[in-house]
Amino acid sequence: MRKPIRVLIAKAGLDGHDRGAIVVANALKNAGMEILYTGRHRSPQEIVRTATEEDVDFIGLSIHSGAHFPICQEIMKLLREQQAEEIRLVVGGFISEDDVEPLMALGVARVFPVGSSTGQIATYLVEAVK
Amino acid sequence: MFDQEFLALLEKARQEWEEANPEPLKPQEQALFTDLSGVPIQRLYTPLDLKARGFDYFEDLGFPGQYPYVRGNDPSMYRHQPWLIRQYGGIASAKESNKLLRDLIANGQTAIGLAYDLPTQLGYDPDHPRATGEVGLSGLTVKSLRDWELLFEGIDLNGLFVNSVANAQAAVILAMHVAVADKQGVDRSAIRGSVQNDILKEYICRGNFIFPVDKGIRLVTDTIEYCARNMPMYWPVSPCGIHLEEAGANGLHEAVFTLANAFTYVEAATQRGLHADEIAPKFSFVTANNHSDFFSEIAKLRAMRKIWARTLKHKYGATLPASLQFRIVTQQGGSTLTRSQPLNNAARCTLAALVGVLAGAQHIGLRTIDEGFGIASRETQVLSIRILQILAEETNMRHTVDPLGGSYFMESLTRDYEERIETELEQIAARGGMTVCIQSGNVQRQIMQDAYRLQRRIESGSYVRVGENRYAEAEESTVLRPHQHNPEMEALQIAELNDLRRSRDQGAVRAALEQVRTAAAHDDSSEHNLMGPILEAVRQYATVGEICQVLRDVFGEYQEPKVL
Repeated sequence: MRKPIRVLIAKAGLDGHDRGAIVVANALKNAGMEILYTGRHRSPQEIVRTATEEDVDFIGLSIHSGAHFPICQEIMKLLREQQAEEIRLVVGGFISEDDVEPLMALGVARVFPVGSSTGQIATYLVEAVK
Repeated sequence: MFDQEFLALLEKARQEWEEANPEPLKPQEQALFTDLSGVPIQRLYTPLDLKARGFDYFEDLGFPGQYPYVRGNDPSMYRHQPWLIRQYGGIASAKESNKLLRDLIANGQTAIGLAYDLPTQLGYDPDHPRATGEVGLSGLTVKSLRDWELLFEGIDLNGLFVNSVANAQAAVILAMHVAVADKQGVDRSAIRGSVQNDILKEYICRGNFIFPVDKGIRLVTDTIEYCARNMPMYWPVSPCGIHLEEAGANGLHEAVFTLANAFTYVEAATQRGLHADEIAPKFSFVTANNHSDFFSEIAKLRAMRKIWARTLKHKYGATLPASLQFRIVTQQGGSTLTRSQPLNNAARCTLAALVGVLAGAQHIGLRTIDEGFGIASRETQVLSIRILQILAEETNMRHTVDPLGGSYFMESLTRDYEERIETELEQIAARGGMTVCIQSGNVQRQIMQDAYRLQRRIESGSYVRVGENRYAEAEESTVLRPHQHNPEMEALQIAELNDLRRSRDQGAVRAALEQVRTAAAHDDSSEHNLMGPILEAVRQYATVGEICQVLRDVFGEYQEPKVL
């Protein structure tokens, strides 16, 4: 049996809205995953450092401020630099439909906009590590 | 309240009615009839329910404009003047927001609610590395007094109510309001408005904090004291429940934590030697009026009125009517609106407005139907204004004061909320007060539990969101286009900032910032109130980032407790 999925739930930039992050963290924990949470206002550097040190499978970035492009770009760049591309970046939050494809083009594995269910997120993570 | 003979008759009649009309409820069905805060709701309420709760007309209800002000702060309430329409908005730059404000005022918006971008709210100038990618997104950018001057160009501040959603740096924004009003020649006594300035709620949930808790409270106290002495019409502190509900707190917890935060500010100010009657009139409350727990939201607000009035009178010794009145600004929570089938949100906005009206709110603000898509467009802002105008001008619902007052159900539910709020307030006091409970993460964890419980109800379908988890359509037919951001905005703001730094008197700026530093380094006291030095720094066009940096140097920054 595979070891439990490890997810780093992350809040980046100046965005303080952490309801989504915390609800998803709780749901994934209840689904048997190992969850770490960065707390708010983290830089991409801090997030990638924690993700590599903790050897997580996914970074679950929650973002509601509209600053998702520069932040995802920076996280992807740092993951490549650290040769930690096996860590997948999954993004959730206030993200318009139009932004989903461009985010995927940056290397984001999956986007869950507002209205996604925690069940969908958990199912995706389980499928993705198979 | 009712005579014994009547109650005996009623009890018998009620029993007969129950027996003739049984409603067999299985235990698992009881949950269908509790509200989101877990308060059970009965099938029917009669005078017997008031009797069971020891309801007393004079103590529990009284008259409008009289203690405990549960029927309203004003004897005539909306008969002569409706609530103020306070929409929340702010886009990109001061210049663009000025245009939007003029447009909305021309369309009947009667109070201004300003939204700032995150760098402004966290005290960073647009050229700060931490501001990258966030400039002008969640609201307008304010770098210095120059932006506030542009924001109100051609808009007379005399008597106009202007609220700023500013918390950690509220003192700086308040100083800008004062400085622009001074330049327009508005008398200090005619400056109307508020800053949110509820820093405890930022530590709890919204996350726009800068300084450690004691320093945050000091800044709140400085602004309250300054306004108590200089600006009789201004409300410098607005304990804010809406953000607690948006973070997932149920209505009961919203009320508990909002009041607990408010009493913390009252105590900080009285400890500085201010009398309750100097400071209590400076409070207004920004509360949720969500449609999703319709009657409970109204009962919650009525219960908060009673508890505020009673506590200020008996615990803090306030006597003035303005001290005992609970000024309500209702703000609908965006999370109660859906992204799918967004036109349905117009109904939700209308119901939320009605919560505010039936609770006797002083100001009402609504979200917009495009909430799920981004920052409101001009059209959807106007729609929300129109909804409030329809209620105010088309329905005759303003003809009587407190139309729900005396309803067996509403009075019972109000008492149920009151008792539960009081109990939880006592528990917080027993744990050492609100600042202790925040620094230990206890409050945050309670809200997290509420949020998670609600999410599970949404996903199980027991909490219905029409068009989203029920009556959803396979193909989304309506996609709204919210306000579109200008990709050049960040560069433009940085260019303006550089111009500002070249054109102002640098020596005067440095000297003013030193005064801020000196006052900040002294202990919390009237003598070293920071408002004076901050106002001088603002007048010299010191930037928000510069002033906050000086305070960061002296105060340090808040470190969050681990909550997960």
